[in-house]
Amino acid sequence: MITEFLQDALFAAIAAIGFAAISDPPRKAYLYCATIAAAGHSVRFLLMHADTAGMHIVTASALAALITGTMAVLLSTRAGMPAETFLFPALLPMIPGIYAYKTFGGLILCLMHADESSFPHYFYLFAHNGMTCLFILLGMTVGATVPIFLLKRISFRATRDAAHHE
Amino acid sequence: MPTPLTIWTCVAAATCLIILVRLVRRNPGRDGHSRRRFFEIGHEREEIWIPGDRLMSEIDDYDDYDESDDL
Amino acid sequence: MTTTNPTTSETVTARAAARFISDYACRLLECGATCVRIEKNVNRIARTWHLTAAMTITPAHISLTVSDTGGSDTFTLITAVSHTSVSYDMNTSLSRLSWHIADNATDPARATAMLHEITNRPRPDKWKTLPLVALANASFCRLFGGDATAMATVFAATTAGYALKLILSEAGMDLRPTLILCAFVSSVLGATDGLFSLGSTPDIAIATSILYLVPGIPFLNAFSDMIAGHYTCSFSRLAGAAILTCCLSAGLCGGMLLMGAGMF
Repeated sequence: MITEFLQDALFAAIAAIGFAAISDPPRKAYLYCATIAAAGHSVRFLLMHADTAGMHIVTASALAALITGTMAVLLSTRAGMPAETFLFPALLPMIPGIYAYKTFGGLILCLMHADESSFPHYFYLFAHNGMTCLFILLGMTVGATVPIFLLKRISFRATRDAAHHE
Repeated sequence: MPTPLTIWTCVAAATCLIILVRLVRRNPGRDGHSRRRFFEIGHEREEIWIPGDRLMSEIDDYDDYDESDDL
Repeated sequence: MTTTNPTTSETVTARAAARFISDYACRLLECGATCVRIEKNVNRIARTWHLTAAMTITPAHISLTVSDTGGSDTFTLITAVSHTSVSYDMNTSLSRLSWHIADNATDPARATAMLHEITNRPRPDKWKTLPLVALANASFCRLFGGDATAMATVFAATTAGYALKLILSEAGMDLRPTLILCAFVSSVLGATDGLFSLGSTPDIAIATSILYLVPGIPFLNAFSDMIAGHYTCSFSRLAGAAILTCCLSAGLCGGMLLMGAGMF
């Protein structure tokens, strides 16, 4: 269990660094990205694991994003960057990509199976994957955004000190 | 009937070829020549332009340009 | 009518301010900033010049009205957003610029020069990110329970697909057909594990081989705008992200169909 937890944190950190690289963050942001992505993803792993909390993916993602968001806002002043600079790339390993493309896969199969017996099954796959994807995204964004707004004084002034030093 | 293996071979070969060509022709467009665009979304005027219409390059002031002048 | 800036004793007209602010907001939108960030930074700059700014933000245009406190000097601009390419480095620099203007009462001419300096900085070579992206997707495969063979397959499939994406972007191809092609290539190459019976988790390899193409940042920005009440921009961004997901799903479905693999 502990090995799985640590593995999850390690691979989430590598995934966050790689996916963050696509969105061209400042060089300093990579470390923060990896740290908070590892924390967020491993917390979600624990929350979803049957031996610990056994939570639904939507609730677990929202809570993990809340922790990720809080860490990002608190670190943003130290980093001198807007929180979302490393918060959003750190959330990328939790993006429900498979649910997203399965939604469209289900839709295509719906169109291909017009007969009344098989259509409901593919419509169920489309609706289930689509709803799960949307609610994970909504939960994640709410979880990650709440700290930004609750700690407004910190989150929208993070770049101020860095601007002074330039 | 193409088998998965045939398709896999074709896709792998084509991708390798494209990447190799790109590696041989390093940094296209930085040697002073304009880049050749294989696909791009064109302006609708390129579709509906007829000889006698004003060219976009001749239109100096966009604010005063009236499409009805071309009719 | 003009407004006097007490710190610099220079006058800032709504016209001069609006020209700078609309450019600034467009650059911020182009680099993938959320609407809240754009609004906060723009209002900070406008307040510095004793002006008020109101905006309508859509993914393709920004409509901005700047006026003085009395409302007698008003200027409205609608500016088109040229191209969107997420860059948090530029987002950070632009946010710092807004604080620099606020704290030093920088005039619009100087601010414009600083904005050009930031936007004209050379962008990093995307090819350098290729190994990082491939490694990230291979790690992602591991997170979904893939074995070492599946990870190696995903690494190769991502390298090929992402390299193709960069080549097609350089050739000026539209993002949507690019995603269809890249997803197709990655899914076909991701099927290597199953085709040659190399490992024990071929289904995970093919399912995760295209995840580097999922538009994560646009999805997060869309929901962030929704929470902030920017519904027009939110739904537009959501539609854009959904279309991109639809394109990659089409490429994946094609690849899976031809390789005899099932999605469900």
